[in-house]
Amino acid sequence: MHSQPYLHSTFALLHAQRMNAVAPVIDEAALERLRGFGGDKLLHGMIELFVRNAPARAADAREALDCGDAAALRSALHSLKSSAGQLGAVSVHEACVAGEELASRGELNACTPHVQRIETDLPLACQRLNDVRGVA
Amino acid sequence: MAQLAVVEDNADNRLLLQAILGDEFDLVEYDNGIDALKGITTSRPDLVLLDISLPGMDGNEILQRIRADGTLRQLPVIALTAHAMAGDREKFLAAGFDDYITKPIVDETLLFSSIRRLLGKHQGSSGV
Repeated sequence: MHSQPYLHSTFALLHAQRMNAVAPVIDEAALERLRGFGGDKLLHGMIELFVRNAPARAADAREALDCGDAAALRSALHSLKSSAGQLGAVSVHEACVAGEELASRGELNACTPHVQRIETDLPLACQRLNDVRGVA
Repeated sequence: MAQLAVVEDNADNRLLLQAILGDEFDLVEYDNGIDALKGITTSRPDLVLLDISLPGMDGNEILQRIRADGTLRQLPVIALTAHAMAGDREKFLAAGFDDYITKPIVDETLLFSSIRRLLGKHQGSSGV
């Protein structure tokens, strides 16, 4: 099983958000947009799917990076990019965009910080989204 | 009610499209290209929303198979994709897609206007 650096404490969450001031973990406007499309039912359904599926995609990206498989890395980042973008997981989305572009050019070494950023920020995004959904 | 085939492997995106379009259109969903081609051939939807990055058979190959089928080649197909780099729109239109919508979907009116425009054009050209 792939381990992830999950951060649970509020302090850790706030600290990480402060350190990552350029891109918010979650863009609240994106959540409001989804509410506008389909109310809380849609928003909560999309959050449930994202929280369930995104960690596996991040793990796929890590495995592809470690194996030197640029095509698999690009595919994993592309898939995660779409979902992260729709749910306003801005920092994860940005890392996916950058990583996908580099992976498509075969520049695997340059992908490392972007995959690391996903591994750091995805648990924060999932935590915030679970808060929105009212899941502890 | 017009029937739209949605070919998209991400369940969250299918859920979103159902929420946005489900009141106005009859959506038939597919999560892979093989099932989509079979379903499109038998159910004859009025339009296809086609993701590009699909496992196995990707959206470009599905489009080529639709265009190569004499009974389907006029079917309007919209590329629905997170590929949003410079030149992607022109690339997809040149490949034979009728339109190109990027994900994430921020403005649903773009999606609606594209679908309505293509449905109107298709019905006009087919004499419906």
